[in-house]
Amino acid sequence: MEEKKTRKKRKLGSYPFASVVFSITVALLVLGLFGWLLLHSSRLGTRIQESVEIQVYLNKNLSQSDITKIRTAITSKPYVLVKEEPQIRLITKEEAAKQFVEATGEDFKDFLGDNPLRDLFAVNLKGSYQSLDSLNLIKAEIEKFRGVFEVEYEESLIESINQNLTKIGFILLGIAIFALLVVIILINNTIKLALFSQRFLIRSMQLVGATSKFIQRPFLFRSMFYGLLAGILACGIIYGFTVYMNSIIEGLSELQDTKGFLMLFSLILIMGIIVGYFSSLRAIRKYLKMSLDELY
Amino acid sequence: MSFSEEPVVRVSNASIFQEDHTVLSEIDFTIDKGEFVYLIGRTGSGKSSLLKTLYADLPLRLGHAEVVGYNVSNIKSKEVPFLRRKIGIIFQDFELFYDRSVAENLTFVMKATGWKDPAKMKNRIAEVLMRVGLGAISAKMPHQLSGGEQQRVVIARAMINEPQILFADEPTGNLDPDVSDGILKLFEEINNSGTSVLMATHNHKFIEKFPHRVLKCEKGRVLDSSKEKFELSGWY
Repeated sequence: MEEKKTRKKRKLGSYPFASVVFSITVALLVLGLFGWLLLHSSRLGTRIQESVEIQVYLNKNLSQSDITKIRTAITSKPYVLVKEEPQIRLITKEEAAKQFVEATGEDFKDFLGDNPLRDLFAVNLKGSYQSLDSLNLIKAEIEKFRGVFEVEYEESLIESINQNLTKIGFILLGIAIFALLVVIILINNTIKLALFSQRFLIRSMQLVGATSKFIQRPFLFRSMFYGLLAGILACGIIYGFTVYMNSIIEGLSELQDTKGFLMLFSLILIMGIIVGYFSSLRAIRKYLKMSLDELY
Repeated sequence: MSFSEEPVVRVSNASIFQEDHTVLSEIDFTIDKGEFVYLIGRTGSGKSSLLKTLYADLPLRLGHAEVVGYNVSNIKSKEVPFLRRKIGIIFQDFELFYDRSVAENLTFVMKATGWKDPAKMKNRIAEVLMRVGLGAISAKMPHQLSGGEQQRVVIARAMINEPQILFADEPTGNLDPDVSDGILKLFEEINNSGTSVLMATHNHKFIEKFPHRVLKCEKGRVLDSSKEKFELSGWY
């Protein structure tokens, strides 16, 4: 045992890996969480958006066939959400009045003597048509239909959904970029220290005529390996996080699919390798160009 | 092997700087194939800088120098490794690795310079060790060898890629006189088989025992015993 220890060779390209792997893991983890949230929020966002309805108010005194015509016209449009069948339902003015009475406890028919409400279609739209621009176009288009009185939608709700999703995304992306910068600086310093501790080896290699590619190679391989290792760690943590979140948030797993997670995990692994490779390439280029005397 | 008449080293009108001040200027000399040349001069006279310039460790900023066919004055950093494979460097700060055996020391150099075939590497190691007069020591660790033996291993290491010239800086600096003579004889033998040698030394007994051409660094110039007469004394 003792003998083995003294015979242990200093190998070129090795450097203390704990801190490097740790920080790459952190960076990848933040990046992965960003991806994780993106994965969920886009699904969740679509769900929320799809549950938002636009209301198509109809003219009064339309015949049953007119109403059917309007329904067919709206259903044929590409922006109507289809879940097994097109998500459009008719709410007659009687139903609307009933809902109103239930909600307020006041029966306006008593003092108005008439039902002032209109028949309406509640229509769910596909998520991709939820921007305010396309909503305005849709509103304009449907309002041209004969028999349609007016189209309304909850502008502020939709807007705030869109804005919040973008905001959260940007914040996470910002954190991820910051973490990547930290990784680059850390790898830079680690490589510098490693080159310093191996300067005699490197000096000897240079004196006998080793090409700089040959000297760089072990460092690059090693940091790619560390990147991969960090990627695997980050994937494991995110997997554990997902399992945990699924256990405490009901219905969360409905937003997940294997394909999305496979994509996320392979992205994290590839990012790990790339980050490891390029940041150590940058560092080693910089310090090998420096003569070793300057490193002393 | 080619027997061209081109000199192995040709330096013309070169100046060597250390940071901003000139160490040596108007350097003109050539070393022919198979020549043995001593390089002498006081400590700090620029011997080491001159040698460093010749193997492209110190950039040549003024003048012209050609070493084993490479133009050192504007050599690209990519070419430097290939220049160094054609020369052998025996230097004080270029020691053996004490954490690996003699064979591993030599293997390290071979791998770094593009050797791939293990059988060929093994043969070459046996060959160079025989050449420097060391038999079955390849499994030994450097600290198990005497100073003279270690220096022979260093020379063996320099010989691995069949260099055209050996640059040696004080190769016998830490050795006692008897051992030093042995090392110098080894250089003579290597030189007799056609490898040029440029040796920086403080040991003037060498020059008495094995007289060869002398280059002397003095007062910012390089004097050449083949062109002019100068005192050998006064240097140590």
